[in-house]
Amino acid sequence: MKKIKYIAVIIVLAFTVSCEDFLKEDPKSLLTAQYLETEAGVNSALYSAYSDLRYIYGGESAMNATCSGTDEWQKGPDGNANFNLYQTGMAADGAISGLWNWGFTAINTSNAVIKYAPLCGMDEEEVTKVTAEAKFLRATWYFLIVQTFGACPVNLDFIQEPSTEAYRDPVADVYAAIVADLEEAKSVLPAQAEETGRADAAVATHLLAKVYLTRATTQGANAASDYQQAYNNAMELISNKGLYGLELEQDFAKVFDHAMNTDRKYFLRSRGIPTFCTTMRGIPPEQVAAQRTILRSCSSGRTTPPGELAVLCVTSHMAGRGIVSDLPTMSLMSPLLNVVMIQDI
Amino acid sequence: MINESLTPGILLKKYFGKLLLSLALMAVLIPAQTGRAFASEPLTDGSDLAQQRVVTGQVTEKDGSPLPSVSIMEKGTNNGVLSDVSGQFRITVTTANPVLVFSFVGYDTQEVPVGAGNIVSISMATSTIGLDEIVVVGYGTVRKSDVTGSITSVDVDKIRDVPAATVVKALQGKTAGVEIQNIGRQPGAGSQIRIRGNRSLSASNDPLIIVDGIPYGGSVNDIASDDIASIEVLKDASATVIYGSRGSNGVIIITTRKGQAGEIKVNYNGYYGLNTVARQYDLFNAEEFVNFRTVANYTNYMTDEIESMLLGRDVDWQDLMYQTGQTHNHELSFSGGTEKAQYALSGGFYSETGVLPVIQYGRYNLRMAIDQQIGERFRLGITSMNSIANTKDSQATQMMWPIYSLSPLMVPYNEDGTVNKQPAYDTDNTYNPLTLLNQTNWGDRNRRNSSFNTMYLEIDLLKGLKYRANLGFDFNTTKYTSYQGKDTHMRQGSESTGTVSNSDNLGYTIENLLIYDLNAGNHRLGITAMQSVQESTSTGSSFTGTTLAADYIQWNNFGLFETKDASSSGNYYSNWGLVSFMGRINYSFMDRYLITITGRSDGSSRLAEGKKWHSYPALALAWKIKEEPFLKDSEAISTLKLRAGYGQTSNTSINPYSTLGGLSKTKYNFGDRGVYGYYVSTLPNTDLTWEFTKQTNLGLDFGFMNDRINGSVDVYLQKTDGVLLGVSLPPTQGVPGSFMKNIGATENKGIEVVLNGVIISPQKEKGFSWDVNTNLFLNREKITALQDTSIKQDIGNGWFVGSPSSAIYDYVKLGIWQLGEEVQAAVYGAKPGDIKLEDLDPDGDGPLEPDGKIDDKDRKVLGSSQPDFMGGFTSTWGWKGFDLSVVGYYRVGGTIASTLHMPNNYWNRLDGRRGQLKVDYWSPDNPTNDMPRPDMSINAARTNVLGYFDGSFLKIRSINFGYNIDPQLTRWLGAKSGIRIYASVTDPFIFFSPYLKAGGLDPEPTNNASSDNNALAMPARTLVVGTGIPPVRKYVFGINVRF
Repeated sequence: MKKIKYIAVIIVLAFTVSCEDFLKEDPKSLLTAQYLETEAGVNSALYSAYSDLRYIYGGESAMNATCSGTDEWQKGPDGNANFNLYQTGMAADGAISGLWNWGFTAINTSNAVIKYAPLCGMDEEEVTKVTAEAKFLRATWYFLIVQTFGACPVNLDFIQEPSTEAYRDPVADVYAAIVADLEEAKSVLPAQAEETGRADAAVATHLLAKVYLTRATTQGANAASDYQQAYNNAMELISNKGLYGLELEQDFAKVFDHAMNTDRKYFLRSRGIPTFCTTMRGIPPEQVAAQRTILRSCSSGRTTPPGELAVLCVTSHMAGRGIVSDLPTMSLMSPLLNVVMIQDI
Repeated sequence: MINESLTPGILLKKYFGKLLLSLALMAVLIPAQTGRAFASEPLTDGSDLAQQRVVTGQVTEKDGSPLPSVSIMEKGTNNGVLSDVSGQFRITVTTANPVLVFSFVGYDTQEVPVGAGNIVSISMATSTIGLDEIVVVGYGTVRKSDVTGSITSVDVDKIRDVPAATVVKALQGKTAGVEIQNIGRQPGAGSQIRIRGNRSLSASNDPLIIVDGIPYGGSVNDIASDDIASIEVLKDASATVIYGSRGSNGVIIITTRKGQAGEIKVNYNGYYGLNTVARQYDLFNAEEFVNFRTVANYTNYMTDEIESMLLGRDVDWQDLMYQTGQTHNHELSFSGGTEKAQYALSGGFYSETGVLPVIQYGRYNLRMAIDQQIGERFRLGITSMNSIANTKDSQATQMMWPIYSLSPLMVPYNEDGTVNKQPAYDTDNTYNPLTLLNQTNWGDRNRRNSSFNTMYLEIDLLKGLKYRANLGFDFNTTKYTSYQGKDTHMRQGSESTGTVSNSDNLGYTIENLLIYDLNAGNHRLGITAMQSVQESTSTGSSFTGTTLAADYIQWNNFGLFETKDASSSGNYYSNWGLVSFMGRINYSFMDRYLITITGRSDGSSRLAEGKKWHSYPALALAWKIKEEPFLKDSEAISTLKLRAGYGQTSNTSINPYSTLGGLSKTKYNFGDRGVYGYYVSTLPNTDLTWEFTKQTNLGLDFGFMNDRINGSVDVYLQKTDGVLLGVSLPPTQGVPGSFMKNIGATENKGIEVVLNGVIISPQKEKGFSWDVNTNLFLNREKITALQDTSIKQDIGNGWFVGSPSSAIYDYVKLGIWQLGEEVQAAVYGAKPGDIKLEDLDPDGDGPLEPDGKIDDKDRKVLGSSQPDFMGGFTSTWGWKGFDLSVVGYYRVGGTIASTLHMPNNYWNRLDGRRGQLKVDYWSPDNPTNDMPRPDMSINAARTNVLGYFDGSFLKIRSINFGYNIDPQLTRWLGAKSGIRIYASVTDPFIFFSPYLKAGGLDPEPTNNASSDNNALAMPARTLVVGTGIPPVRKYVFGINVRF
């Protein structure tokens, strides 16, 4: 009997356990924001900022937001009706709201990279490069946003607390931030990226040229020197083709001459940064005449390896003349296209 | 003291020796309980010996089995005997006109005059309301008469009237305030339980389930009905505060059967059931279909269809595919024990096939309960409940789409007798449902193992003070595998895919309690103090594969899939901990005035640092008016008690790790190098906390004529604040998605009425009896605040201030535009045959004024699934050995959303392209106001209005008929034996249902809108009556043997 009593007492004591350990949380299958403070985390944030470009360029969003309702193309059988008719509800259309929502997500992620790169134990060179790439991406997005929406909040710090307030900063401030980012990126990034698809000085310079060119005609933000700066940056690229690994298309008209044999692919070459991309073989003029908009986007997530794919816009009213696209128009009207050069493959 | 090891085996060996001992003990103990003297001979008082008579007889239970140990007293004397093992007794009476008083604990006392024959045999009825009845309240038990909160005790025997796979389904309509909705109709489908409405908009509204004192994390479906001894439902805060942070949604306490001292009892319950389709979908037959397509102007028939029309062929796909399913159920239990040790063992098997071929559900149960007393002061016990539940091929519900959509003109079999794979080859890739009968290239299995174990140790420390330790250990695992081959209906030529998922959950609870009871004259005091910790860990892994070399491998070797992927949501680790302290004081004065004060403090790991602890107080008062001198001797009023309670509880509404924020993954590539990116998708949220509910409850328990009529009325008001709502952050923050804040408020108030009565009580032994249990209740739920005082509605989620959650917000259908109304219709861009919608266009709070166009602003809150009131009833008749009971429940009011009728899904598309529900559609010859003209260009967004119906109904849930075989005939089985045979029909009838009249099959919901592909633009939590397996009617035949 006594034995049982002792055993019982021991059991009872065993039941009284310490409390604090039970209340600590230790998430073993989730990644929390602390991961971004590590070197791997900083890199992953950078990749995430790159991948956000696909929300715009990887599908039809960029085309819808910028080309529709112009002479590029008209209405398709489904979707896009909002833009062509400028109906109310355009603001809620995924293409427009996506540009705004994903833009700011990418900007915030880039800010995370810029904040944590110096703190995570990466070596100096890497830190500079990664920060510069993040700045380039941030500038790309702000450029897209400011052209589409105008004034917007300029966030240059990583946001970690919720707030329900937001203020639009004037267009001049946005451009100032873009230019500052690109000037720095241009000066620090390597001339040619080691890895396909990563930002390099060539791309930064090219974008800067476009930014200056665009700002030159933007009231309230333009500076007298903008045209000159645009010219300087563009010439920088053209004069140093070799350094940057670029080439100019000699016969510009070739791109538009669709009567060429169907094996040829006329493409705009990009630097691997996702652009509007469609693979399309040459279409005989008769078919072009019969078709309406046949632009399709490639499966999202594919970047354009050098030397291959690019953008192709087919417009119905251009049909018959065998003209595939009006490149200068496209370039001006759709600055989103990161057109660098044209190349016949 | 007897000091021997007490295993059931040894007990059985000593069976015969112990029998005598236990009988002797019972003979000593029971008279001690009843306080009556034991005498085999009357005390003579010198009265005339000629008046002595020997009266004999037998005492039985209502079902005929003998009742031993019943006290039989001669009224007016101290003369008494006890009935023996076979219920027989012999007493020598001396008074003139003797009256015998029969009494036994738990049974209604009867007084029977001795007639001329000297033989008095009676049957005794269990007390419908026993004042000594014990109710489980959470960490203890109280006498029913001392209950201060709103607690319903469910009569488990009445539950067994409804043979159902799970005990929850059998609870429908039995308890006021508890609304049980079925989710799904296939074998093994679950149910949704709501106690007093919904409080939370984003988090769970499910009640906490406690089994044998330990919170139960498994599925209620795994508990075999026969293993349950009692179910208590705690509804108001003063009762649920005892569970603190988890008490808001109510608590269901299930207590399983334990052994009892006495001879070994064996009980077998088995039944066999046939499951048939109660109502088929009413679809067009071939001729009606052709007429319909003519009106719809969809006449490009396929070759097969033209041939059918010429040959007069008419295929009823439902007749082709539906089958009669079967249910088998066997349960066997043993229980017995001695005064010191009791045990109960049970095992069972349940299997069910449904009305669609191939789907199967099966469950095995094994349970053990042992209670052992050691010495004078120690008691310990252990229970172990184990089950395995298997579901096979539940994907077969996908057969319903082709059954429904293939037209009656199509051809199921080719000329050579083989199955025509894609009968609708021109319009649809849908496969023939007959192809799913070929199980070589698809399948799925789900197996859930669960083991729920509890242990307790009780030590009597001092007089009135005892210590109790509870330990619970809960372990369950689920494995799900599925495969869909390339050439199946699920893939339709796309690559084959497979899934394998495993998850497990391990939880334990340790509780230490100190319990003190003091009875001192007019004062009764009970104090309980508790400290507990609970921890639960869940892990999961899940993989999918694409393209398998050979179909027959299915999921058995995942390595043979060409590509494999692991989903982020299926692979997880989750762990939470809870530390609690609780104290409760029960005090009653003069057994008339009662007060209960409860407090609980919970600390949870899910909340952020520094905010982990919350306290929950409650106060309850009760006044036993019946015990007051002015009522004490009243014969008419046998029970009258007033209760009032107030308390604050909460809902553990946030998941583990919610306060920490999280990242999401994206993919990218640089040339050939693929990489993963991570970005912040959820901000850290340290302010997240529970949703708190304050509840006030007022109740009155009453009983008349010795509780022959009894019942209760409860009135309650609940206010919940801190309801979690997503607050949209400006996207410029850079974190997509919404941010959860405890910012909303909801309110529930209602009335519950319970009325039970013995309408006809048996005049003689096995005479005709009729008793009725009814309940009626209503709940008014409404949202009182959303994210901001200026926000009055959230259309996307169906939240409107002033309406219940998941309100239906849509256009108002006035009818159909008829011929002759062309001009008015043209104003809205419509023509005769289109749906006529009401033009409201309210301008803010202004009056409704038509504005000549139909747009988004012409919508309003049409209602919600909340009924005006609902309730249930059980009516039981008995006569001789027969018994008949009818269980029903009803809802009056409420609006149901029937996705079956909404054209934007494909089941009532009204375009002629596929098989079609038989509806009253408009045509120039048929000016109905029901459904519009069939048309391919029907404007989908505005056609949901065709699917809203009044949700009222009266359902007879089951009719049960049984017969207890005369115990004389079964005596060969054993002394206290009995056999009952029974037959039941479940879900036989539905009355008064406007929805049924409109072509629906069953007005009860089948699933949430979020899991219904066809619920276009409906808030996720709305319960909809969807498409899917038709309702099932079961015919059950069973036998119950006790010996």
